[in-house]
Amino acid sequence: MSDAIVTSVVIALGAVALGLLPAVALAWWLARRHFAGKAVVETLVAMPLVLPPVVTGYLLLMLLGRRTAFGGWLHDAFGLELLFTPLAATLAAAVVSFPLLVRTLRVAFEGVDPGLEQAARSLGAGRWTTFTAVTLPLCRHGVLAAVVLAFARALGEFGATLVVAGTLPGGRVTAPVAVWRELQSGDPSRAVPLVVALVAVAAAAMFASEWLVRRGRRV
Amino acid sequence: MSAAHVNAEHTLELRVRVAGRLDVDLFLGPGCTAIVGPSGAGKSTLLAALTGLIDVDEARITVAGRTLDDRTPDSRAAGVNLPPEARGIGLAFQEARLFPHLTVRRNLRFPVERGGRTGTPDVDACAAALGITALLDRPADQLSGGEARRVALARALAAATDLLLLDEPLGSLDEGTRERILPWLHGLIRNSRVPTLIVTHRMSEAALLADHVVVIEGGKVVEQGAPLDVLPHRATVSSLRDEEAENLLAGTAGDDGHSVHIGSAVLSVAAHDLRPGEPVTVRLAAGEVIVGLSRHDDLSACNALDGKIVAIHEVDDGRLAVVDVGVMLFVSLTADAVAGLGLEPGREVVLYIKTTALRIATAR
Repeated sequence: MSDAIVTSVVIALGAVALGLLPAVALAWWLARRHFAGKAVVETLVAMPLVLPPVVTGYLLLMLLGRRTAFGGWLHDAFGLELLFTPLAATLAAAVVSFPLLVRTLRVAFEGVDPGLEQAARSLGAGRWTTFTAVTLPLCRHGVLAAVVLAFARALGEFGATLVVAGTLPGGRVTAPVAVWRELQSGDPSRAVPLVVALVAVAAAAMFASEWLVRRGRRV
Repeated sequence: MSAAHVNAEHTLELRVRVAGRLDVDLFLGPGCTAIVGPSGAGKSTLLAALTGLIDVDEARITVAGRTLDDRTPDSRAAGVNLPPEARGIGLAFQEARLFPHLTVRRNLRFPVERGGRTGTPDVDACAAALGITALLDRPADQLSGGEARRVALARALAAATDLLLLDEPLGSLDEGTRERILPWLHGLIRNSRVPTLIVTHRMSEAALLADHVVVIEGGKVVEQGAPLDVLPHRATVSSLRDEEAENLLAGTAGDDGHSVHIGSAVLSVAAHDLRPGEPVTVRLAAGEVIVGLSRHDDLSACNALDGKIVAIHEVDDGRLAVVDVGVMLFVSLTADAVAGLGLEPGREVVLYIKTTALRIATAR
């Protein structure tokens, strides 16, 4: 059991780390800029939120498989075979948690008064310094909430993971996949410890992110 | 001062056009210029354009020979458009806009630490100029409205390497707070080493603070000149209509501790803790002045000033007279009083002012 939890935690952390920078850039862009086609970008970003995870997994399979254009190129150019590796599981978890990351970050950025960013610019700070010295510190609770929420979502990822990384090298599996395996084995009671652990982590993450969002509102 | 005689080192060339909102072409000298006009005239838009915070259709902005913006039809190729951070401008917005996650000190250090500005007064000097030294280690989100405003002014001072812009620095403050900040603001502008533009919709503030006044209405410059040449004739524009007409005067405390010298006039005041020679500002509501045709010594009002009426303007609910008593004073009167006393421009009058009507503030 602890193996599956460790595998899941490592993969979920990797997924958040992978998605964080692009999510921050995208969320800031969506929060602060008006541009043609914004609705299209918003729709695309939100897709994994409403798609059945198994469909997301199918699409990833189409992207990464050795016989597809991108997957083939990865294999030929770098000798990379992603399917059924921890990296594939990380990628799957990153894709499904990405919309949550972007949405929560966007709300956090929108909560920062643009007038303060203008003030920073007028006081000599460039765009990047304004972002790091004013915007980010002012919405740090929101950013943390986004990270916690995305981590929890990545930790619970099952459908897409099963498709692209159902079994990892060495027979390791993620915690939700392990629960499913135990159910398949005909003795549901063996899944109880994992179920309890996953429920506890999910509850703690939701509680933490709610608390962070509240703190953020007070600032 | 005449713009033609001003050294190019200290001049501002401001040509800004924002379609439908603003179209001004100004050449200003050093010192303090007040941009006055009614709400929505384009005053704040002008400051935002100078700072580079809004899009403009056309601009040519030079400060002390340095070009900040040059996007006129004949210079499109040059196309200079410095970003806000590179303009060397210190702007105090209408709202304080302090960074709430930083202390007052870190707010004041922001232009140097984060903005890389050099050659500005240091934090201690800026804090001293606005009387906020005791607040330096307080979080910026734990200040009163008046304190926050003073910190914002100090921060603008700490950022202004080339130009200081003050957008309604006394706006949205209650009357008592406004009176207390006035002497600090007056001192800040008097001691500023860089040219200063102050936006205000109150004639009294322009009269007190500025060397030069520019009147903007509907996005266009309608008049400019020395305060005493411009303001008396502008006293009735809509800008004064929704607020009590008032006089703001700068003076120094007399040796006896309860008189104030303003120009050639000496006024006795109710304050008793004045230090001889210290600078003070005086606020006097235009409605608190009594006009007489001759001297009376049987009145309770202690101050009697001889003067001459410069102009009488019709305002919504009566008349506003401009009286020269060594300084210009606005005096509110009813139409009946003007008719009954036969008041008209050129007429010699005596103004009676109660000591309690003079609101005194010092930079302490």
